[in-house]
Amino acid sequence: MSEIWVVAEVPAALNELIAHAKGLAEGEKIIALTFSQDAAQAAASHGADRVLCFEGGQRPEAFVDQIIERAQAARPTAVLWGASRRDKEMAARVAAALDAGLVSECFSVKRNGSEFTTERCVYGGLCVASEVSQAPFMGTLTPKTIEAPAESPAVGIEVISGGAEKCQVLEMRPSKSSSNLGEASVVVCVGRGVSKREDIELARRLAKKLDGEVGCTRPVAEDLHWLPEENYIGISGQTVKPSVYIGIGVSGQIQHISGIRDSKTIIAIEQNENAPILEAADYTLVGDLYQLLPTLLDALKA
Amino acid sequence: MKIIACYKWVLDEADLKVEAQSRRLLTGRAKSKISEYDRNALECGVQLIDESGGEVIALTAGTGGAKSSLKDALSRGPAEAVFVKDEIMAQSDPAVTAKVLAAAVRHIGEYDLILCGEGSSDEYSEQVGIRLAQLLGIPVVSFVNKVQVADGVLRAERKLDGGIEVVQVQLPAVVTVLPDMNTPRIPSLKQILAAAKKPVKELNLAGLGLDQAQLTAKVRRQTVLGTVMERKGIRFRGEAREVVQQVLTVLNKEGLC
Amino acid sequence: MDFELSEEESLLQAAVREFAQTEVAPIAAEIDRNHRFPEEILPRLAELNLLGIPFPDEVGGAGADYLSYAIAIEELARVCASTAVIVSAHTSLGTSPIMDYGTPSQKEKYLHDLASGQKLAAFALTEPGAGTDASAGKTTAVLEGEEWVLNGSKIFITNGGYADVYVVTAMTDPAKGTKGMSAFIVEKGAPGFSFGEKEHKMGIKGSSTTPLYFNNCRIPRDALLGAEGQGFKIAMHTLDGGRIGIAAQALGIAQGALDAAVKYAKERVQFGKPIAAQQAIQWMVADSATEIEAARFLVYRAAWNKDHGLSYTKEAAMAKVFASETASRVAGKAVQIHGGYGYTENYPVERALRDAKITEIYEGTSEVQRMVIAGTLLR
Repeated sequence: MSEIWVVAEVPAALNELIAHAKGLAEGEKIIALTFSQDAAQAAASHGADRVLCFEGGQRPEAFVDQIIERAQAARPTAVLWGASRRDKEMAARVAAALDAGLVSECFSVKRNGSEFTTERCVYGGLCVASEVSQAPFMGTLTPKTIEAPAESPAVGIEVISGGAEKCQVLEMRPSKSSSNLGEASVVVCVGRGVSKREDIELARRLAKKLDGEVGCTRPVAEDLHWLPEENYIGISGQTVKPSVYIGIGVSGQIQHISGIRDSKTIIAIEQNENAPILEAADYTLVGDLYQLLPTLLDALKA
Repeated sequence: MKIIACYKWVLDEADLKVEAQSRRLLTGRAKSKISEYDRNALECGVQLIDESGGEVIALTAGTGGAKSSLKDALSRGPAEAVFVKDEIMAQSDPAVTAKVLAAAVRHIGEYDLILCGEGSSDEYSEQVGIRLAQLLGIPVVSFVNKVQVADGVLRAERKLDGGIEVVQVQLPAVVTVLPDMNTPRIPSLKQILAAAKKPVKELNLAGLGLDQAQLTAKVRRQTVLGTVMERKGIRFRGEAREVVQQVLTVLNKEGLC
Repeated sequence: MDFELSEEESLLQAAVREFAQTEVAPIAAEIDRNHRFPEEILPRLAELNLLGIPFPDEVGGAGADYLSYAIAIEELARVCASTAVIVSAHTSLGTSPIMDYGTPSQKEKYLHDLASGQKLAAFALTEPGAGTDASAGKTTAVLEGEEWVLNGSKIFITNGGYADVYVVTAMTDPAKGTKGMSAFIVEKGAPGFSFGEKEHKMGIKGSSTTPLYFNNCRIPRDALLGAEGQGFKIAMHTLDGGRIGIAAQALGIAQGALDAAVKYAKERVQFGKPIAAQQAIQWMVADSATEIEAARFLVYRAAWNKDHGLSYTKEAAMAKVFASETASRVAGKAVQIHGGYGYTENYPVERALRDAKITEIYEGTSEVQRMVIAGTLLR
């Protein structure tokens, strides 16, 4: 058991996993398992000791059986997984095959010898659960909880082909809208306090002026359909980590707050002084958004 | 078609509160319910047999308290329920739950399709259904919001981060379903009253041949505490122009204006 | 003594609550504002088996009991008093008498469709000159060969115009007073049977309340319900059961109003804190909650008695008078707690106040209920 594996679909996630792995390693080598050249190159130049690139299968999941075999042979001390949906499926299958525990979407992992302590959100974001597992440790790690390592001279990439599975992929339809919320440094979020769909324009103007992106709370996307689902920020939607988050008519339900908690500065415009957002924000403009927002836009000349 | 729909009896997170000082979780007033996405799984199963005939078996593993879930589940369309009852389920993790369910499924015998919610509304580990498939040695299609079955072949759409993946596989298989797959129907009064007459099979862990090692959680919970947000909580009140001036100072510090 | 609901009753409560919130609540304000009978809700009510709750499975009902019925009516009324009374009038007033007094062939002809919700029922006792004094009815029924001929009119009939089947009282022998009253089953479309304009009411505006006109209305001989001269007794017995439904409706109106007031009190900030921190508000809420709890147990007790074959006249009257007066008080306090906003159509409490009032009047005014209660004790 002298390896720590990092496995992720997405290059950015992979790099963060390598950073986590470096923090946890006690002499173990860091082996990156990747499914695309982009990801393989990212891992190779951000600190992995060895990089495997599984290629030629119809999709990453086609390699799960091979990964299981390798894991059974190599017996890594820990396998850190990304948290994309594909990553989660692969992680659960490998964990089941190895009869290992799997901690889902943990935002912190610490190691004490062969004991790993993790923290993750439960009850819709209401609580944090602190849990302990013994090596071999497996977990899917939430993104943006650590800086990627600095670039370093690239190591070689081993290409592994094959990949066979019973499922047949008929089609892959990429999603049309691409939301940059995850990367945005300013996020303007629309909540239910906004009474008309047309008023989202006010939020857009603010976002544009501040060079930010527009997001929303779950009801605005899923019930009212005023914005696409990709724009919804919350426990089962996007997580954002901007320098400035501005909530417009956002009451601050726990499920939404868990998606914005890592923002540097949280500002809210809200008239109900009893709304939870006031406790969750650094600054709240108390009053009617239909007065405050136009005044703000005016002052910014937006 | 014989479909097994798995569900979990969970505390209703809307009833949960956190004590401000100690951050302790207060569950005293919490009622229990069938986890949200599991209702979608039950509904999916019932819709499939409405179309092509067959039956749905509701399966749950839980402590004695989960007994209250049976009529609720049976009022939603399954023909019978299988309940694996053991207090150890209070400490189980997804690894254990999946093993227990796998043993129960083997006990049930033949089946065409197993449906699970994508994750439970309390823990949201998103693992059990997927683990179950691996343990049973059958394919899994996860994060599904559309499903069709014809001639023993399942065709499903997975909603992934990058888009929609359309997949086809021969049954038997496990499918984990997303909440936007369907709107669970409201049970009619007759369905509620008929639930009491439907068969319930109660199983225990010893009977399923599971030993202590298999039932020991791999991930042990140490604490559960309310999340804490330490924010400034400053309020700007007053006339619109004044309030806006104050926030402009903040934005200015961030280099935004 | 077990004060808990059974598993089935809890599941029913949850199902009706979900239905009320997802399918009735979105139309409640609109049907009130537009004075519109919500026809689209009827097939859904039928699908959920809510139009024949206390009737046996064999006749097309849900096979539940009066306690379940009361629970369902309360849940509907929390969100829409109009929908609740549509169901209540159909079940307790229109369908029950056919269940209790119908001949096998009448039951075969009508009961299944009504209990399964395929058709809607109504009950017509009240006349312009005969409200509390129900015996003063002037509508007559005369047997001519193989037909009864009805002449007269009824007023304030719930589900009027929309119901397919009407249980109508008429004098077959005016000389005999109450013993000369008989009950009949009249179908919509019967020759000589017509409806007047819907009343424009203070509340329950989604419920259709119309006069009925009988102008040489001819119905078959076997449309007589029960024995000749039994009509008054049938009416009184029917109203007893109806009172449980109305009491449950009033209970729902009160609970809905209180829930809204509690929510508002926690959110509305004056003097730098939610008004829920003010003792005046706290006492209004405490009193309202206590009265509602008392009303609930009176309703449950009346329903339980009926389900167990015990006499329930007194209990139903107590439940009705107390729950209805509670509804008016609680709704009034709810508007008060909402302040100026409570007086506007943007909040549901002004509708609750308007809806509550009728519960003190129909199916026996509070004065009648008091007479009934006193009668059981003092005679």
